Parts: sequence; C-alpha cells; structure tokens
Amino acid sequence: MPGNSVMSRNQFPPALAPGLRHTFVHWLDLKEHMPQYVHYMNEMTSDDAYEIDWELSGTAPMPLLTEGSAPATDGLISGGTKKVVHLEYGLLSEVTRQLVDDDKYHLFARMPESHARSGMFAREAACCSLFNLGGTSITTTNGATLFNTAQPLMGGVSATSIAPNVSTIINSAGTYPNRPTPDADLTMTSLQQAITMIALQPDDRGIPVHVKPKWLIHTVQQRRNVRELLGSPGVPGSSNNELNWVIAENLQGMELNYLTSPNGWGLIAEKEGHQLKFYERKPLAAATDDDFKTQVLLFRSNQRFGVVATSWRGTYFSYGA
Amino acid sequence: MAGFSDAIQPYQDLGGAISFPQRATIEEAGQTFLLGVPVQINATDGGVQIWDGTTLTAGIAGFSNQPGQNLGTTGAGAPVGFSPILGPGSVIGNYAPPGDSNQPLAVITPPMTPLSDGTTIYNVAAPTTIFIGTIGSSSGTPAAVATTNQQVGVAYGLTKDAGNNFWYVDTNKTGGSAAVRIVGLYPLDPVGTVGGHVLFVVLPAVAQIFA
Repeated sequence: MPGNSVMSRNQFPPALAPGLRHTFVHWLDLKEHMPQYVHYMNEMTSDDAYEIDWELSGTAPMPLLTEGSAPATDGLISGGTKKVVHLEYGLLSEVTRQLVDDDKYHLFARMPESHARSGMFAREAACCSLFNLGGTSITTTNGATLFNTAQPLMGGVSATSIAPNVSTIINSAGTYPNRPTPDADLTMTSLQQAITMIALQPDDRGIPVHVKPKWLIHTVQQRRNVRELLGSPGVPGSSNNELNWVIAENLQGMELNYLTSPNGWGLIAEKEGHQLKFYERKPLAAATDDDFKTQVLLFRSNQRFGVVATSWRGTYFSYGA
Repeated sequence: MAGFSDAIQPYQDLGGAISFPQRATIEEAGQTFLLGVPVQINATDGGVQIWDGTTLTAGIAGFSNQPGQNLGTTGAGAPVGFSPILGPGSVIGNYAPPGDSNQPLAVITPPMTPLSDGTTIYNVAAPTTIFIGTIGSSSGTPAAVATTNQQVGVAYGLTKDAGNNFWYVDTNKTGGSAAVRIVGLYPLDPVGTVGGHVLFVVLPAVAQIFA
C-alpha cells in the first residue's frame, strides 16, 4: 500500500525543522471543487439499515365506452422492489505522538481534513458507479440493468402497442430502450437519437411520460465535443447553413470526473424526472483518540450511505462505440 | 437423532484488548452452512465454503459468523470498488411480483430478511483466538463425551454432527487427523459434563489464514 500506515518522524524529516517557506499540502492547497453528485442525485436521509423502493404501474389508457355498456376494468400492476443497503466507508490514520509533537507546521494534527477529501471521493465514485456499472451490474426494480436496450415494461406487449410512435424506437415488443444499439460515441446523430428516445419514453402501460432531458452527462475528454454540440450556432461539422437545433433543447453539459469510460455519455432529466438516489445514513464524522500504551494518535473517519437507481426512467446512457 | 453440538464461537483472545479478527470474503455458491461451523476458502474461485472435514494442511479459514446464504453464484451481489451492492440485497424470501408476468427478473424483497452483499463474515482461525465448542466422539455411534482435565493440551479433530450439522471437537480423531488443540475447559460446565464445552485453538498447520 503506497500510504504510510503508521506515520513516524523518520518518514517526514522536513516537518521536524523550521525553515520551510511553504509546504504544498494536497488536502489543503488543492482547492476543493463543489461536490458533483449533489447536482444529479436525489439526496435523502435514512434511519434504517436499508431502504426498500417499490415500483407500481398505473392503469392503462381509458378505452372508449360504448353506449349502454359498463366500462372496461383495469388495475395496477406490482413491479419489483429495490433494496438499498447502506454501506459503511471508513479510514484510519495513525501518527506517532512524537511526530505530532515535533511537527513544526501542525500538519499531522489536521488528518481529519484529509479524510474529508477521501470521504468525498467515496461518495462521488459510488454515485457515479450508477453510470459506470449501469450497463453491466447495477439493476433497477425491473431486474434489468439500469441502462438497457430492452427495459421490460410491466404492461408487456400491450404497453408498446399503446405507446404512440415508438415502433421505430423499440428493439422488441414489450420493452423500451434507454441505451443505443450498439453503443455510440457522442455525435449530433447519436444525440438526436438519444433525445428522441428519452422524449418518447412511455410508462409501463404505454402512456407517454413527457420527460425532457436536462443534463448531458459526459467525461472531460468530451468537453470540446459537448461545447460544440450544445453551443455552435450552426450544426457543428456541417458545411450547410442549418441551425443548431440542439440549442433550443436547453440541454446543459454536466462534466463528471468520476466517469470511467472516456467516451461514455448520457442524458438525465431534472432530479424530479429520474430515480437516482443517494441515501445519507450517517454523515462523515471524524474521531480522534490515542492508544494508551504507545500514545500513537488515531484519526478515524466513517460515513455510511446508500446509492440506488430505483428506476431507469428519465435516464439514457451510451458507453461509446 | 437430535444433535448434541452447537455453534463454535470465539471465546478469548490471547492479545488481551485485541478483538477477534473477522473477515468478510465472497461466499461460494450454494452454501447452506450454519453459524459457527468451520469454513475454508475454495482454491478455485476464492469463495468461502463449509470445510470439507479432511483438508488438514491450511484447511480451515475460520468459523462462520453468519449462516450460508445459498447464493446462486459465488459472491453474487458483492460490491466492486466504490459501488452499491450489485444484487437485490437479500437472497432469502424474494418472490416475483404477483401479476407482473413481463418482468421476469423483478423481485419483491420483504423487509426483515437478512442482508446479503455476496460476502460472508467469519471468525478467522488465528492461532491467537481461542474458540469454544462441544466435545464428543465419532467412535461407534457419535455422541457427546464427558469433559476431563486430561483433555487439556491434547490435539483432536473436528467432526460434523449429523444430527444438527454443527461441528464438535472429536476425541476419536487424534494424531494426523487432529485440527485443534484444547487449551482449557469451559469454566461454567463442571468437569465431567457430558457434552460440555472445551476451549481450543486451531493448529497453526491447519489454519488457512491467520489474520
């Protein structure tokens, strides 16, 4: 492990003598940016070991009622549940008493501030794992992966028969995609397909949701591409004098540092339009103590939270060609 | 025949203030072991499974601290790096949503079912941990035997109690079949108690991991 498990004086000689003009301390001098996950996760609190989310369909569209007859009957359909177990994250740093006492710059007593930075990484990475792993191993209430070319609808074939104008979107009857087939890089064409796919999204009985994407999730590598796609007055890369229609969509780029696929990109709705959730079970808390026998100072930080995607609604993601 | 054995638990730690070392390791598929039984790490895929009862060279990783979860695949649902649990969060009690015939993978997970993150927690068979278990003999008809002061210091084997699937210290297994060494008698069982409890450590050669 590259980090020092027990920090002692011989590992940090510069801290023991005066004369340093400046110590460039990563956790203090690398200015923190605002947390990113708070911009796209629905944040909630929890007092339990776990939370269980449930998905329930609505009724089907109201059919024509012929004169003198009773209305057709229809009811709700129970979907599955998604159990989110809050996971604990923790970090321990040990510093000898002599190092803390002899540290001329009072840096080692500030370990909890470094832990805060480490704890923030855990939150960001866990939240972003919904995108990173949503195509392979993170599932929602319907049991399919969060990003899937065929999300099974509770209403089955009837749902896609009822849903208007989706016959050229779906890959199989009774399902609806929120991922392209095959995965595609971010271009004007693939973005148009994504916007169309998310805008035509029906509920599980085939009733259009009218959801509108708000954020274009992307990596740092896609920054130029996103700026050009969202900001060019004309269609970028085209020699024709066409308006850039995407500007009117009011899409905003959201660059995430924790995406792991350089060509990955996606669309999500405003927070109320999707079900990506962050449950705060125990906020990051620091504790300090020392070992009675050795007087080694112990800095411990813990936090517990749960991350879940209850539903695929309002989301779309492509992992790049 | 009802079994006479019970769960093997850590009893005391030679390190004093050091607590019993535990580990959480991915669980092998299909495990239905009880809490407090010897477990080993599968050499092929690293999953924790019930001890085979015969491997005496690096054979026992520890003693289970939760029942087996009968996972469909080894480590099902275990988080990877910074991720949530990659499964339904429970493997017991899940049932398909009634009336939802179009989502074959969907499940309803009832509350109060045990959590499952694809791993199982066990008390490591570290030589510094003293465990407590029942003493018996597999000679003839397996049965509990009385504790004696002469048992202390002797190395015995471990045998699964066919009556209840817990394991006991088996006075019928000695020498090359030994897996543990008795270091004391449980003070709350009077000497001579049939089916009394003994304190033991896992033999270093038998322990699969130490910490």
